[in-house]
Amino acid sequence: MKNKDKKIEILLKNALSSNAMPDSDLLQDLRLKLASKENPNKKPGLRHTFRISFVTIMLFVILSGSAFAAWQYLSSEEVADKFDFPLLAEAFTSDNAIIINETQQKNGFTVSLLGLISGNQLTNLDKTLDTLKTYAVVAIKMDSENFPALNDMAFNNYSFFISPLINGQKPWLYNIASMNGGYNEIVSDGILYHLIECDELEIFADRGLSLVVISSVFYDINAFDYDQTTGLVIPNENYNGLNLIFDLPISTERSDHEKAQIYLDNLWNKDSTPMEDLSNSTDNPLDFLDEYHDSIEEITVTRVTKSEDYQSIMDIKFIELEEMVEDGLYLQKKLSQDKIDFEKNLERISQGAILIFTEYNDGSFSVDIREPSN
Amino acid sequence: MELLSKEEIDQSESQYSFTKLVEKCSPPVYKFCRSLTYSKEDADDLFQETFLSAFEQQTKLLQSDNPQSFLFCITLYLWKSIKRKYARRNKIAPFEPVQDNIISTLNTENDFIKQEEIDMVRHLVTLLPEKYKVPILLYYTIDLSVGEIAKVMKIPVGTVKSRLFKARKIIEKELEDTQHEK
Repeated sequence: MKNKDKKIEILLKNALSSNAMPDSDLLQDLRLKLASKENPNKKPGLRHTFRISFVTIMLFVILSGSAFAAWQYLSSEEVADKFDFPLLAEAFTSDNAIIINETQQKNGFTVSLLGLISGNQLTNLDKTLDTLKTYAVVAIKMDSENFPALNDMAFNNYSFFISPLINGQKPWLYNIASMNGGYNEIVSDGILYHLIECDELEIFADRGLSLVVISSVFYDINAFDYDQTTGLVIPNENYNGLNLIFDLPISTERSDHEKAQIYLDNLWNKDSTPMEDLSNSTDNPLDFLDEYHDSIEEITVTRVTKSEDYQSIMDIKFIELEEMVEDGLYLQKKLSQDKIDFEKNLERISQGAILIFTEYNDGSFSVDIREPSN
Repeated sequence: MELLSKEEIDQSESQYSFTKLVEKCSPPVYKFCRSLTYSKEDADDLFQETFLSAFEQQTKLLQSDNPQSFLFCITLYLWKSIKRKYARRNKIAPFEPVQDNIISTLNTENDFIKQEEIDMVRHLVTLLPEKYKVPILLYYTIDLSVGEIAKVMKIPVGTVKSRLFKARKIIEKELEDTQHEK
């Protein structure tokens, strides 16, 4: 290893190695919380108090809920303002915003889906661009008491997983967690507000969309039954927690079945074609991406336009190949030729050529070079 | 014969397995949480949330051939949400990152220079794009192999290697630029 590389290696090891350990209080607290999850009946406010058919409940709260939500809660715009997202707040006042104000109740909780908006760069907390995201605001109120403040230890007793779901897609695989999503939460006047976001939902509108609210940290497969035939998610009536489902009334005008299918096919490759790049009409993702991973072919394809980037890739590749030569797994003659080709390609890249470096899962690679068009 | 605690005996088999998993995986998961958040309070929260979420998926977790990777995946998802709150809080009351491995005696100028360089490298790592930061942390803080990192991030081994390489190069360049400015 070169001296420079060795130095940075040592620096990184010194800087990042950690002797941090969870302290005994933390572990004990975790054990207690896990134990209470095993006995959910001990948790306040989550007992069944009545059994009425789900349909009746839905009709009752939809018919009576809207007026309740409108004056009781902050608006979606106000919630966005609380999080200091002025662009998002403004978007919620636009004609494109969908004001829903639908309320449902279960097990001592009143949950209201307030509003929905899709857009481009509406928040600015991420260092990456927030492009083509969908945002939704949900309010949760406890019937018997107020939510404690977020920084109150008591707040740790409450967990909610709020996620859009796509009809026909397995909810444990396709939800906010896998769709580059996240949430912000705030308690105002004893009411908990969640602002969730994820990749744009409108392209899926023709398939049918819903939003679930579960009293768990992650998607709980016990909360809903998934009907493989209809592709619908149905609340499990025996679930001893909160498991509500709302329809998302998103217009099918902007649905795009093909784009949606590409997204779903590539979803579990977190580093493949991002949403904004699918809006381009070209078929070749490498026209606008530096790196593309294909999970079916199990390859990673990198588009290289700078000599130093190619140098970086091949430095490491040559180390691997030299080891393989020593192990008798690669011919020295082939390695020598690779180095000659490498020098030629470096020269061509410096003159404007684009190199496509394809790496296979077994470590083998191929190189394709495209000369600049005149 | 191994004496089991009363808590363990009272548990069902799957609960017992999950408890064992918590005991085994809590040190590396905690280190990962700590390295992502750089704050003990947030690390503690993220650590607990990871295992509480994992508990809800314990059947799948215990059947997985690499439960630790599954746990790291959960940590990464939860961290995305927590870091938004974390960034907001930092705007209001900026924190100083807790130094777990500070040089114990800063007596010489050399020690100060070393610590300065280490602090700079840590800072540069926090600024890396996520696709480089995560493999760097998993490699240097958690001591995962390239193969294990590939499983956590669901990318090929070669991609992990090239990202580690690129991340090192970025840090090296930034370090050089910073030193030239002085």
